[in-house]
Amino acid sequence: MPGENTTTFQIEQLGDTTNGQPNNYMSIRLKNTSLAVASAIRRTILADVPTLAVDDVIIQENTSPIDDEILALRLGLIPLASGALADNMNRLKFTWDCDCSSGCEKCRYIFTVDQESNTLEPLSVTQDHFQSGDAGNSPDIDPKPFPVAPRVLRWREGVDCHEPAVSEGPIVITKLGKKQRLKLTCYARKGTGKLHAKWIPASNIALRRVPVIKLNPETLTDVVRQCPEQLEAYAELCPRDVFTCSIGEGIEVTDEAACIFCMNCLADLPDARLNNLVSVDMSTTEFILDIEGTGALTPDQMVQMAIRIMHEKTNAIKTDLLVRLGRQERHDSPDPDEMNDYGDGLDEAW
Amino acid sequence: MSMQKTNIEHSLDYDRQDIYVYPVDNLDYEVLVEMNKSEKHTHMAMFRFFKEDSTIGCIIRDLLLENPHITFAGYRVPHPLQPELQVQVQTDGSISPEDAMIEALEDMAQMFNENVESQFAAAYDQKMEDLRKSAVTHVGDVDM
Ligand code: SF4
Ligand SMILES: [Zn+2]
Repeated sequence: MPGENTTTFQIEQLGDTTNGQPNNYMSIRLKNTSLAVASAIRRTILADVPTLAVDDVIIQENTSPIDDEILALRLGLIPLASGALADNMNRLKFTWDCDCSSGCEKCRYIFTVDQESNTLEPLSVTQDHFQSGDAGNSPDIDPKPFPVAPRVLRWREGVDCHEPAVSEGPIVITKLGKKQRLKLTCYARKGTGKLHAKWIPASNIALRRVPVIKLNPETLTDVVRQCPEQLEAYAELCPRDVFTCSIGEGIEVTDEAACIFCMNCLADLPDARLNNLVSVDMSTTEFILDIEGTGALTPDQMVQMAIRIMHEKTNAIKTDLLVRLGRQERHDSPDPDEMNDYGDGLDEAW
Repeated sequence: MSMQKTNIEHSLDYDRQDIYVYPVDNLDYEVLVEMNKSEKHTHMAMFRFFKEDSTIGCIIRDLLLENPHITFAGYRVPHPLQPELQVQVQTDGSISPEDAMIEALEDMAQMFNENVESQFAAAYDQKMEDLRKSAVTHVGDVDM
């Protein structure tokens, strides 16, 4: 019965969490699940998990070499830390759910940038020059959004882990020459990846199948008896060193998870007697989800929000279907006027 | 409204989200799903989920197929620019397509319930705890 297979999670790897940095990388093993569910979590993170991003830019003065439009585009793509939305997605409302006409502190977060160069050296205006005052911003939005510094994860060869994230320095928005000035106001809003890619909290999500590699004991006995000298060469066939060959003992599967399904161990075998020695399959109940974040949300927040969103969405559809079939009165949708008074309690209705 | 719009107000006057997002405060008027009974087959129906895509389509299809009374279940997204998901269901007659669909939706809500979320949180805390322990051992080594 479907109710019985509940997805369970096991965290395989985490990005660097030392020195108080939020991690940007997580590898999760989903067990007892199906491809549909694993893929739904991946797709929900990409399309439906809300974050903040600069959505409107009011440019008061721009004498920098970069055009207003390009500037606005660059500002929009800077990831903003959106941890305030993680436990309560309605701490900030979508613009279209808010009843204000021109934006208010419930549906936007304001940053200002005001820089002027007085030296001959070009002045780099970076994300560090974002200022967010209390004016116009609600104190409820906590932790405060700020532009996240890019951190690059490096893959270390041979070792199955990510090196600590390296900061690449702040994102440069533009450079100013002497007497050039940049003064602007950015309105950050809540949005989802369905509307614009700048709201996607993850820079990379990969869903992998888990390999299941089995040795056929009968073939193995035969091979050990008839042509044990072939086994070492056979273990060498695998580019990921999945097999370990011990003299006299035969061959063992020692690093199953490393398999990349290249099928070298099944095709073009040097000896016909090695046929059927191993079988390479993909698990249908286990998957690995690698999430690399932009810094807007940490990967664990993304997964939790995705699960919550899927739950709410399914319930909303089920209720609607029951209402359409005339089996249920729609009583759960709150009165619009009432809703405004309980803005924060609305997270159920994401 | 007769209020004169400033530039800022004007730029807010978009409805790009309308094709993707349910408006929270007027769900009453928003049709999320629609059922069309087939005229040719007695136990067949086409469900149209608006503003949805393969994310839920694939799960619904899988769950429907797990039901032994379902003889056919399939889904499609008619066009990538059309925010709509269509699920076709045919049963053997012992259950109506709409009951099968409601059952599938209930199962799907169960798949993403609070227990799943808290299991994930527990797994995460466990990993953090493990990491902290190994970090502490490491620091101890250096001190000595
Ligand atoms: S499929 Fe490729 S990577 Fe996997 S075990 Fe065989 S040879 Fe190794
Ligand atoms: Zn507002």
